[in-house]
Amino acid sequence: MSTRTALPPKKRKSPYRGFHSILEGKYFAWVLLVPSLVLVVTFIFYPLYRGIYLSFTRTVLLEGPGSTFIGLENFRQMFKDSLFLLATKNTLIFMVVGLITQLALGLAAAMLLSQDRKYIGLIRVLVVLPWFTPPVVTAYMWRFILDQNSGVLIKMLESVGISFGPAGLWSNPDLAIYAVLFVDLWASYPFFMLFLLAGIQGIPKDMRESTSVDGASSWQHFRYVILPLISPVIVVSSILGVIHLINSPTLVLLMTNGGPGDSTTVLPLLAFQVAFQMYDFGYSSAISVAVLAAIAGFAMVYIRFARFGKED
Amino acid sequence: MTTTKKKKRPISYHLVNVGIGFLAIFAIMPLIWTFYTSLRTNVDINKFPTKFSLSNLSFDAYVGVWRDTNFPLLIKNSLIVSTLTVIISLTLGTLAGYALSRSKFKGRQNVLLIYLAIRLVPGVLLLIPIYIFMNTLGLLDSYAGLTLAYTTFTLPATVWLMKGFFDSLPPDLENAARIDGCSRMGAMWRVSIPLVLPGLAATGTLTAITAWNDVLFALMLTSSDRTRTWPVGLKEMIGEFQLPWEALTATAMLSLLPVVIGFALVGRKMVAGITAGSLKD
Repeated sequence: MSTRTALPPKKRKSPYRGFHSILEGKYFAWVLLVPSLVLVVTFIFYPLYRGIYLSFTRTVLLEGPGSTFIGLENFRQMFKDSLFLLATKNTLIFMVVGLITQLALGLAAAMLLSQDRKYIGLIRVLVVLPWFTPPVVTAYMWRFILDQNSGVLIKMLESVGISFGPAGLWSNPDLAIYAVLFVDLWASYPFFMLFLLAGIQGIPKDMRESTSVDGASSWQHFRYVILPLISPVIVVSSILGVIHLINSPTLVLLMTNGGPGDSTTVLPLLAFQVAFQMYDFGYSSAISVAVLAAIAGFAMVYIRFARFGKED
Repeated sequence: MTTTKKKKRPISYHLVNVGIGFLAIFAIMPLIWTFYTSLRTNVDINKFPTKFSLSNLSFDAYVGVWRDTNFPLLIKNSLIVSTLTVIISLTLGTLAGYALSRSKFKGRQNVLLIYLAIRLVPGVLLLIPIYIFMNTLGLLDSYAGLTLAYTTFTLPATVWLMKGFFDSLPPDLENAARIDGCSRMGAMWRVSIPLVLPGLAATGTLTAITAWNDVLFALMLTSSDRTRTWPVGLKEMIGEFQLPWEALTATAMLSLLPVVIGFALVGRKMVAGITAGSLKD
């Protein structure tokens, strides 16, 4: 790339005064950056700090305002809380199954959509539409399609002999979480597809020609050329994808609200419910901090793992 | 496009086509089915086996939703908040993106890193402190509070996107303007901004859709019909009235409409926003 700086006129006395002279001076970048940085510090960094602080306090809105510092008590309570442990298990299922299915379908889709075809540009955009579909629409649309009494997909599955019991998919505590995961797959795999497609398109086209001259099969080309080259993209998209999976209780909240029983309660949903149904802000913050720690841990392990994979 | 005329394609070529077709159907079919349902009568929807027919379709459900519920009000609230978010986010994001693109100042890398790292912060952790903070500021249940929250969360993507668009402009154009006596801001406003207008439109649409779609913050920061946005309103309506399917699907389609329009106009450029900054260019 060429140089990015706009050439400032050298050795010229500034004809500007006051605010204008600041904009012409060497601090002009900071002047432009300050408004957005102020906003980010005020509404992300300060709340982040407050959230971590709250996790060490007892703050229950029903007991009045104000909070008492109680150290690690919230975290101790967490490990005695059977609902927290169940939510942790559900979150792990959600994370692992969600990541594997979305990454796999995303990779397959990226390979398919990287081919040259008529209207491929249009199809790429169509395939991404679910990602931009409002979660409320996604949730209620799929509740309808998978509804026990009037859902078209349920009826189709029943006609080929697949049934989810008399009470239906959403009342089955073993299956409900996978139903939500399926809907999340529909909505979220395009995210992986976009990343991986960008990675694949970054690989020079003549690479395939040279490997085919060397007699490599399509699979070998994929396994030994494409996959290693896009592995950094896989790592980045996986981390962002997992954050998205853990971080957004929206679909679970709208589709099952944790039920049936507590079989689909995941950690962020639990944190949300503890905060806005029980008004226990301290305990809720502690759960959120645990989620944050888990994400950070996952990201670190994953980057490590991915790096080791490259060295052999 | 028959293969008889052209040279014979290998089987894999057709398999890829089948795969692509499957992806397109998987993405679109649920939406089409939902749209179809919104045009049917309640009796037809609940009759099985489903008879697919194009007769007896009507927009009655749409008229009903628009006339008999407070949905128009919810849409108005959503439009106001989304518009305000786009205006503020684009203004601040363009300035910041321009600075990061044009100036190589000390600390630039750190600022870029901050905007990248924000994407790793789980929003759930911020819900409570932001709720408390908005309460302190007296901004609960106001357009301003919701707009501020959305602006903050859309800013990082906006900054990275706009930086990318400015990066792709040749610097000579601005230099020429500067030599002709344009001030720095004048050069940005008169030369660079007009050239990144398509990018600006795509970024704005991405921001608008993010604000339009959000559920969690709206659920928490609004409490009355005065400011409630449509996702929250719809959630409440379903809880209260047991909306019949045709009304529910009609509402869903109405709220999807702006997204689809924006998507049709600038979709291709917009999808770049998802990966912006996360991959080395």
